Amino acid sequence: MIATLDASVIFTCGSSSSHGSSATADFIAKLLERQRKHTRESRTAGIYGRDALYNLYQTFISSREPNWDGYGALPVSNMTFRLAKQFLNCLPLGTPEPSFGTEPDGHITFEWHKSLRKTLSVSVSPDCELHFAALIGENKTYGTEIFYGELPKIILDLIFRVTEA
Amino acid sequence: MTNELSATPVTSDELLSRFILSSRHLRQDHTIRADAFVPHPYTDLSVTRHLFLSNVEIWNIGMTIATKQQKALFGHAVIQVSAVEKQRLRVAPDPLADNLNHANITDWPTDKPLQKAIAQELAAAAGKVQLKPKS
Repeated sequence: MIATLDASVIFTCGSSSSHGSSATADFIAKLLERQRKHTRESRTAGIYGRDALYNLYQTFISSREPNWDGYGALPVSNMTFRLAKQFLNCLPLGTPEPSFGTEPDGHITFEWHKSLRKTLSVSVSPDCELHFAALIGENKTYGTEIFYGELPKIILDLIFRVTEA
Repeated sequence: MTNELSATPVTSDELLSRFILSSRHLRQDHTIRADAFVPHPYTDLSVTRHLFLSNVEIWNIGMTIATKQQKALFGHAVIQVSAVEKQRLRVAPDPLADNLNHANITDWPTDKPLQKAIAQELAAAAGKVQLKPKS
């Protein structure tokens, strides 16, 4: 059996399902997912291997009580953490590691920050929404994407724009 | 300062502080994350006017807030009112019993992503946080 791998397959979210319906398609999808998981968890290539999951967990732990910011913030819910983990899982191999934070509405934020005017923040909400805002020089981009378990292209493009040399 | 003074109209060249009570709002380079300026789910963002306050008095207000909230004080981010007004927001004096210089940044849009974009501008204007001096 010959299987070809293009960039779209490699960069697709790990939890996405195959569009095929046959047993062979299912088998290949499982095989690819196992390979992706292995690569993600490898210390050299995967974000998980670079302690990102641990850092995300620490962010969750420190913000799961009400008023964690001293200004009446809402706690981060288990659902938000679960979705944030899934979002982390969707980041393509080689993506620079984000830093994590929380907002007063209990959303977890992923931040790619190069400088004060080259920065991207993505909020993961418990309603499967990704609110994002990027400041790149004098340009501003912001919006909301529904999170279906795959990384929206607009966010991927912004990650590349913010983190490029 | 007196209640009367705290009701002084806000001017564009005034300075404001946002006290940082969560280490998650600080980056490693000591700049402030935009997260600290997002008001949602609230409609206003709490700040303290520098008006007539010495540096020591500003820190004392921060310590009072932190103690009351049972949090650690990490520092405060300073922004000029003009940076707030540039984002079409307004600073409304809101004196409190324990902080007569208290004010709210108000007139925020309800749209969350737009709030994030504005918060990024405010964070960029604030730059590095004044870190709490080691005692």
